[in-house]
Amino acid sequence: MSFYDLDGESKLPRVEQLVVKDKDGAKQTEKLSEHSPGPVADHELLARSLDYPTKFTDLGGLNDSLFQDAFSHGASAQRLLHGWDAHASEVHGRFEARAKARREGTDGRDPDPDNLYIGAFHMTATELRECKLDGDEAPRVRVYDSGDPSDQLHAEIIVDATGLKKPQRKELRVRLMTLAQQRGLFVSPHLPAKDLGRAEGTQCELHLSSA
Amino acid sequence: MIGNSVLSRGTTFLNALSAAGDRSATTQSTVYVVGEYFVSNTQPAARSQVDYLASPMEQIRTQVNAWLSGFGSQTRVETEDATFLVAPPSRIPQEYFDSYEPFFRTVMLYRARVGHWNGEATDVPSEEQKNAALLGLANLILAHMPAPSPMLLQDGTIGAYWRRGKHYASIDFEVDGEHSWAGTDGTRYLSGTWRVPGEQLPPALVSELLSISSRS
Repeated sequence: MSFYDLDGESKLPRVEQLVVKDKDGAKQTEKLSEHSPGPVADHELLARSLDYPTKFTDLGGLNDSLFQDAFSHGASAQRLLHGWDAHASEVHGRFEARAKARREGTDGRDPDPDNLYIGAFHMTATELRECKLDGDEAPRVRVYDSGDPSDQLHAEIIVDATGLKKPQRKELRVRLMTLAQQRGLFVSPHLPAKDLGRAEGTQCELHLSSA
Repeated sequence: MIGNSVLSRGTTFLNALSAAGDRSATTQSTVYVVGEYFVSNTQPAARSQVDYLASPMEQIRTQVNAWLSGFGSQTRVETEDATFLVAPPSRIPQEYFDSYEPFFRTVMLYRARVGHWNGEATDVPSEEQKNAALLGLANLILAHMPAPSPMLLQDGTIGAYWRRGKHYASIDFEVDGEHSWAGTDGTRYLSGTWRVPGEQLPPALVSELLSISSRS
């Protein structure tokens, strides 16, 4: 039985069910997916996509909804085992393919014609795992390998918010957003020139692709 | 539209300012206004010819200005060492309301599912979630805070945020009225709650917002 097999009858959000199955986070050091290359090492770099308009609008820049799914369903990321330069083309292509499927409604959901993949943020597993609140030593943020046959380098970021009050959860979301933006936004080479303003609208440092 | 919503009841707080955006050291006093409803909870709901994009802004502008003009010339102002009476600004300038208009329009778009923003299983805001946001926004307007940008969370909660580069603050407008907020300058973090109605905008949050808005 996989770590990701959950109780369909449970009313707990997916992330809370996973936390219950791994209360101390020890499973982060185990290979959880038969399709993955192994557990996510601390030094590994990960990429998290920024999508318009689900994760931000260009009215005011990047916001802390970026990691909200880490508290509920789980936040997806791509492992960059050999660094960004080695994986950039593949990762941009994967994120763009997902956005295209959403635009066209070929991902099983209603078409979302406005959906755009803007770019990717980078962070290491250590930076995520050490993201904590002042005065709270609990390791709240976890990174697991969750590869599948079509995406062996998929990773999942979840937050153990057990015992946290609402403003603490909110602050942790803001901390994760701040962490994500620290290296800037690596703008998708697939982003149409007319939409470059949306990347600029994030108010993040931009890294434009030479591709 | 915001019929059937109560935007403020009980003790309401606003900061006395001489004009929108003018927040000099001499205008930091707090005005306590007691027992007001500034949107009727008895508006007819059966039939409407409302322009759903334009009406929320107009309703809120009209109600807030009517509310302010109803104070007359005597409003109690309390500072740390004194209590005195002044007249509040009779109208909030049009341009100040206008700065909030994009937010109100976006709230209506969230409700209308425009843009298919449920693409990542995000819930459309409920009537209660929308009203919680409008109530929070109305209180931000009355406190003369700079206009925020909108944010939609997965459970339909509407949030507001302000950003200038790494300087950031945001509020989640929760249906129970206990709004979580957090702010950062990129290295230092603050967070807390703001209960609406009932509590003054937290001074730490006011300080964060004024700091953000002062940056170019």
